[in-house]
Amino acid sequence: MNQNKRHISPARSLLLSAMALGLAVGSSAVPAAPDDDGYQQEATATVPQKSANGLGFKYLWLAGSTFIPVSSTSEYSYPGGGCISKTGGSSMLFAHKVMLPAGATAKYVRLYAYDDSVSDEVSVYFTTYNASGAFNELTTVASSTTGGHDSVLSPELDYVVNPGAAPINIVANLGSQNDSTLRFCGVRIAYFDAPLPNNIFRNGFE
Amino acid sequence: MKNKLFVTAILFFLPLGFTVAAEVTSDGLKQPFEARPIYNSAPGADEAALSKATTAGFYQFIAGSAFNPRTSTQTVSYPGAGCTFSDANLTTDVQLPDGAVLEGIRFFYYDAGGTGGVTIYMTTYDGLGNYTDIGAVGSTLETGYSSEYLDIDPGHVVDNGSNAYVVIVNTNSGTRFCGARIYYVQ
Repeated sequence: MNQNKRHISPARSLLLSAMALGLAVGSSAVPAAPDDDGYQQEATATVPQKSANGLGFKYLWLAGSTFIPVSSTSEYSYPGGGCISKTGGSSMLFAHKVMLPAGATAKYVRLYAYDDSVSDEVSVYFTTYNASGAFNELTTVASSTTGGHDSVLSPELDYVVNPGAAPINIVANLGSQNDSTLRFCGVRIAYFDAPLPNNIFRNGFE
Repeated sequence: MKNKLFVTAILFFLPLGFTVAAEVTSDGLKQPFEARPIYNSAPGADEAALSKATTAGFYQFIAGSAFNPRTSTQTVSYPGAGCTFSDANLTTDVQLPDGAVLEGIRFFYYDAGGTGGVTIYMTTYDGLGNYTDIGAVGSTLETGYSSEYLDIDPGHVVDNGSNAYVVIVNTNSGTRFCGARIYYVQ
């Protein structure tokens, strides 16, 4: 008798069959809508949100309190929790530089805001510049009145970062609401790292 | 002969004059070498010795003047050499690799006495109004330019998908905040 052969009891066999069945059912579940949640995407068969190197999302998260006004005419306060609110002034724009690795692909911008304003909203823009007077807003997302804290996801991006070609900013527009019923709490950018260089077979097999 | 002596004297003193003259730089008027800060590190083990991990350590060093005010009503001044002062909290974002272990922060400041010092916080936000202070410490030295280490124990594993990371600093009258050096391992 081969002692190395593993013996599987009927009970264990039944358990393994049940697990296999469960796995099959799990993988055929209705796929979630595409979003920036890497873990959710791992289980989504029809929307394989993986980069060319097979890895999932990375994130760059910028708190609202680390954004700076683009003009000294901005008036703003800190209501807490990493958020900022406009309190007056003529400028409503705040910006933060986006430093992503060269070759990375920016995919989504998730806006975090507190919106209890019936008249206004927070909008953010993923913007590139040519440093010669032109800019390009590659995606935008706005808050909706939920009466509290919430996050909203932008449409999908496919921007390959080229630091030699264009600087990137996230620009937040806090509108004309001048109190803490409207707060900008930050953005989370989901991106893929640059594909790994194919150095292994660069010179063939010789 | 007299003229030759005069020219020689000028040539001798000219370079000396240049070394003490204030130079206009991006930092304002550059101070003479003697006036540059010499930091006195706080007594105790340094971050390398405090590290619980056996893997290599890395630094991310952010100058005080790179911090931004959190409100438009606070006053911010620039005393020079990358240092800053404000009458309310200053902050900056921190971007560390996912999975890195945040071990601590050495903060650099100036305090020559008087009331109050410099306080530093390492804080996370979840974007939904909640925050966690991973670590916080106030300065204890009043010997001019100094540095002290905020030990984060146990180390905090960086999760960029769940948190925004910031450093917050509070300066009191007569003090200056000159920078934060974040220490992490991978």
